[in-house]
Amino acid sequence: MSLARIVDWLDERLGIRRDIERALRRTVPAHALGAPYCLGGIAFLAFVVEVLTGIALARYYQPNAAMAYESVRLISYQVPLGSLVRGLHYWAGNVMIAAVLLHMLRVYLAGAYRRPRELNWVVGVLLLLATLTFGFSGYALRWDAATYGATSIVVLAPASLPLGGEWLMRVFLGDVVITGETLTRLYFLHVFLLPAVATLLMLLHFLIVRRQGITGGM
Amino acid sequence: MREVPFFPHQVVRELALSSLLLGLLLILASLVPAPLGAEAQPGEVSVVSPPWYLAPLFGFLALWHGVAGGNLSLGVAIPLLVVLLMLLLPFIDRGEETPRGRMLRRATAAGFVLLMVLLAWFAYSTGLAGYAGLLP
Repeated sequence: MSLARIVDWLDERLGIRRDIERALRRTVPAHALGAPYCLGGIAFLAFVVEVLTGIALARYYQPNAAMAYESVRLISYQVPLGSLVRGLHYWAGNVMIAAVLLHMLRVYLAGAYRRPRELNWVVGVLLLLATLTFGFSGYALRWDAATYGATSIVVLAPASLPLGGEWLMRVFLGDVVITGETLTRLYFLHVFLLPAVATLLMLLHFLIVRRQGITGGM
Repeated sequence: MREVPFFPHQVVRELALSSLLLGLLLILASLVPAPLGAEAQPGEVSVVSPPWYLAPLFGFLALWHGVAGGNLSLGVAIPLLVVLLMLLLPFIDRGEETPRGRMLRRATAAGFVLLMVLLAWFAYSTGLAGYAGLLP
């Protein structure tokens, strides 16, 4: 069956032809093909790599204090292609965070957060927070001596906040010291809550860009 | 403003860039595997090595609380206030766009990046001592 016939079949039922044609015929400002404007897209592509490699890693990772480290070791040294998949997850994560930070710097320098783009700036800051929490919660899952020390501080310092700091830590991380429960909660954040929240925010972020168009050059 | 078609101009460009990025990630992941140190010993912190993107925050906490002896809650609240300020930025900066405004943005961006680099450097150079008051 040719592609045209498939499209015909779908168009007859869903009326998609006009939408596809309109989407393809859209124009973008020429400067939007330049390097500074690729950063958001790079962050998104890295996120897609994170989702795919993350699904593969989740088949082996065990989110409890007794088995976490051992399962990461297994992934790194025993599972076929485990080291490559874990390496991709690690590097794409770092690339994603770097791209998000540079994207934000670009938007700030261009003043692209200004009226009428206030809303998308706010969504972007929330995405930055989601990305950093993604990074940190994943980092903690490694459960080696270095990540354990840093995780302790991230858990303990906010618990010092008056008016609910300790409560918040108990809700999100199970305790105000690191226990096996903390690890399970961080895993929940990393693979359930954050992917859902970040995906919704990204969708909103892209829809707003589509609606408002790309800003003028810097 | 010169306009170019989304298809094929931008699509081709995006596909090329995506392939390049995926290729680089594959090379990087094969040459430099993700780190894995010795297993954590619960209740025992022997080293504090934050990921690079949190290093400025750790540096600030170590400087504020560990070195200067500042209040810990305030040390946590100040970065949160900075985030709040970032969220509110478009509602604070709402006048006409001026050359002076652009210069101000460049100066604040440069200052902010420099501050983050210095704080990150401090986070890595201070060792366990800087975090003494933060650990159980």
